[in-house]
Amino acid sequence: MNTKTPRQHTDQQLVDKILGGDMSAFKQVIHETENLVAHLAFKMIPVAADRKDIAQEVYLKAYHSLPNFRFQSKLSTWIGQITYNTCLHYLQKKKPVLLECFLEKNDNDIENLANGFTENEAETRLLARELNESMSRAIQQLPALQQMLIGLFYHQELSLAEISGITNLPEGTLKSHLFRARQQLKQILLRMQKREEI
Amino acid sequence: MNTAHLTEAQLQLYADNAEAIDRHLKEHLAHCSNCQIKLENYRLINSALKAMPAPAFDFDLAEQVLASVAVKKTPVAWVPLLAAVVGVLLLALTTGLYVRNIAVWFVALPKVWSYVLTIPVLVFLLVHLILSIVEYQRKMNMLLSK
Repeated sequence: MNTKTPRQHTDQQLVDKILGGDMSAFKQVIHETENLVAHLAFKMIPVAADRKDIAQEVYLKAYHSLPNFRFQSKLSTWIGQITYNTCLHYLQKKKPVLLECFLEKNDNDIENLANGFTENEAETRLLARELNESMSRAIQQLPALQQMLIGLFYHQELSLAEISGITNLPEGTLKSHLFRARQQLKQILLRMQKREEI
Repeated sequence: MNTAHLTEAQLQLYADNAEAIDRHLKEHLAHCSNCQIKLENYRLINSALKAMPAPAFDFDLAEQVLASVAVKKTPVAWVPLLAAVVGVLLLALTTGLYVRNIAVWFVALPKVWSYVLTIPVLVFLLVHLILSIVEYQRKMNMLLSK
């Protein structure tokens, strides 16, 4: 999880410095946003070597497009948006099957995973306190879009509005995905725990 | 007391922010062990998700990006550029001065020689045109994908 320290410069100051040729300001922007870029790249791009190229491409695009940045969102959201679009473009060009999985598989998966679960069914067991290991396995069972959403919400501590700015998905859709993701995680974890106890 | 159990959505909302749900739901929660267990499970999930290790690159991204930017920002080689401009100007001037003589000379050439001189120039221009279109499309795709 990010430990957020107060920033010395505002987005406007950083952009002005970079446009003035101050590369240390650009380095600061990279350090501040690379976790977000890594998160998106890791969740969307299956090939490790390609992630490296994509991360560099993202910042080169950002650097060259910086004169066009209009401060309509936070600089980090804008870089997140470039990353998301670059990853989608990569999937479109190189892994169309994965793109389809990423964008369209979700609803079917949600229905499948939700099978056998009714909203107010009696839940008599508490989850174990040490969830970390089983949580990693449980998350892997979620659709890719929901895995990405969970990470952006919990690790990057982004609001749904910011995630919407990055992915261009409506906030309502994201809220619904987040709700279903947590609901499914709970079911998966309870099932895993039950299986381990048998 | 409200006897209806909290929905999953209300439980998640409560786990995120206790202030976000109505008083009568809190009253139910205070007396309902079923809802309390569900709420506690969502709280545990929230804590576990926050504690999950975040993915990170295993290389110095900033260094690599800055190196790429530096390569692209290589200063303009003024001497070769100036030489090229002077060369082009001289060529243009010569052509302007001797265009009529060149035209006469070209017309007087045997047909084979005029083909030998014309075809490579046309092929070069055509290849250049195709490459320019391809490059233009690539750049447009990059811009549109932003």
